[in-house]
Amino acid sequence: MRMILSMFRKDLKIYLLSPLAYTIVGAFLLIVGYLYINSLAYYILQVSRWGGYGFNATKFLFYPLFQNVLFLLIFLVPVLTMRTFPEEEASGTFELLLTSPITEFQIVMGKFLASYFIYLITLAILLYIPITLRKAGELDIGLLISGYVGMLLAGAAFFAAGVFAASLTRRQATASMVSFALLLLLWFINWAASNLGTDYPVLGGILWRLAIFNRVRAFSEGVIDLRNVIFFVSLTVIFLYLSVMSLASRRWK
Amino acid sequence: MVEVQEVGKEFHGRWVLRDVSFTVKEGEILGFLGPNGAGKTTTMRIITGYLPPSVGRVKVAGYDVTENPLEVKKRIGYLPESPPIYRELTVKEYLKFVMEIKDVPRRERKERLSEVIEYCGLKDVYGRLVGNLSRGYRQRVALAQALISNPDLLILDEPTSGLDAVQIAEVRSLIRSLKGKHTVILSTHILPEVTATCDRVIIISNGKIVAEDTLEGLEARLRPSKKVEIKVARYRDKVCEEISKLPSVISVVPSRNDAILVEYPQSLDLREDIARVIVNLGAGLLELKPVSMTLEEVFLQLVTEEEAGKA
Ligand SMILES: Nc1ncnc2c1ncn2[C@@H]1O[C@H](COP(=O)(O)OP(=O)(O)OP(=O)(O)O)[C@@H](O)[C@H]1O
Ligand SMILES: [Mg+2]
Repeated sequence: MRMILSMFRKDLKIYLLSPLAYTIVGAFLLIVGYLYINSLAYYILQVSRWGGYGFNATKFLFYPLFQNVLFLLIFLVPVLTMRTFPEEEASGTFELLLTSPITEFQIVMGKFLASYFIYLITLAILLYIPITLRKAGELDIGLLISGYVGMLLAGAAFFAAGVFAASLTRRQATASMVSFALLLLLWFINWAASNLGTDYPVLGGILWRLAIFNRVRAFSEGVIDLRNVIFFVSLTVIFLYLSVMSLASRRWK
Repeated sequence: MVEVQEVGKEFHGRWVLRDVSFTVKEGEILGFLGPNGAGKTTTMRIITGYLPPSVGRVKVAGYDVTENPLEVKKRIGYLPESPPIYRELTVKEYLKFVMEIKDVPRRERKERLSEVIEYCGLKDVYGRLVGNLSRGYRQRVALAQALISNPDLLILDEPTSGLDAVQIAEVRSLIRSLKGKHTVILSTHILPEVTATCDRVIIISNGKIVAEDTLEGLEARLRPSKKVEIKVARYRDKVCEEISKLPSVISVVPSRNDAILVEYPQSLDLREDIARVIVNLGAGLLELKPVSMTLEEVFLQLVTEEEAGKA
């Protein structure tokens, strides 16, 4: 645990010193903010035209917000995780780490938690939206909590996938491409499932279970389904485990 | 302290180390000498556990590196060939991080830090970013990193590369001062380094050990012939010609400063005969002294013998 913490602190320090992290998180927040303002304007238009009765304002505003955040992680995750292992490789510090009494598991956990922590900071900043809206009226707190739980859990799985992608290669550019492709794949399993499902019901069924789109949507709509929680936690664990394996095996190459 | 048993290493079907075996006793300083590409770095990486051997076993302090890597890693300080550096951290932050992952007990950290800063001459750059340091200072930071956990075994891959003359002298005396307290394995392709610091040398060439001995032993063992240096007042060419006619003389070479180098078998002493030739010629003998072979020559001889043997 102490080792994980040391690794975590070191990586976090380097993130907080790097212009790249600020740039990408800044761009992410700008885009999310812009999309939110758009739906807010649309909402105001709707209410002024038809009145606000029988209409879940929280859902109207936050469902797209949660979905946007999760979708935009396709861009945020590769940039934040691509440096994890390739950077150690480039600076020769892998040799230091792997000859010190710190295990591959501890290295992976420290790096994962550091990149995930940057995401947590980003989510914390996004809290300005519900906080400012509270002044305007009653919000559906249950839906907010469920949406945030979804962003936390799915985000963890995505960041673990990014860390895994970075563990496969010695080059940052390759790492970012691989994690981008991996995340894209996770999102579009859904599409494959519905297309293949008609011809190959068994394969379609399996893919349907792997698809993240519906699970993410459930959270954004206010449903915390235990199966979805277990799904994302398992996905995180699997990717982290694969990263440890990939680190341990790279010396045999 | 270290036992290397019949280690071999293969990269993509090419064997870069073959049947390497040696041991290092506690408190000893062992020099690993060899030309570029000989396999020094690879051997050191195998001892640290960074690379697995393809065949053979390595034990450090009784622990097998492959079976018990953590116990081995706790006991070593390693200076890799290229200094491992986090450019974004200050020297202080960097060394603190290293102490954490080396599991240096919390209460010893302050003392270790100031000791190593002192030892490696890092006082002036303590608060600066490692990425902004010169090559020589980065090397010192890397050396500090290896020393900071006060390890039983120090593995130093070309510890003086990138340093200036004064720093080289400092680092060598630093290494000598470790003698007895730590076991040290260092690699180099610079011979004076070995003469200046080591108790014992292993010469490696093309992935094989070609010689292993103490410094004196190596020089003596590998001197099948003796050399004497002569200086004469006159008739240098004539003297050369006459001496080469003597029985058992191996070679006669005019060398710098008007001297002549004469080589003959170790078992004989031709000095008297040589002197007689010169006196008979009336060439005016100014000087006649034995030349001891430098380690440089021993090294070259060994490595070329090895090549010749293979061909
Ligand atoms: N990862 C690797 N993959 C393939 N070949 C390698 C690898 N590492 C080293 N080699 C090869 O192994 C041989 C020995 O290399 P090594 O770095 O051990 O030599 P060295 O004695 O340290 O040389 P130098 O004095 O230049 O540092 C070289 O021929 C090198 O090309
Ligand atoms: Mg080397």
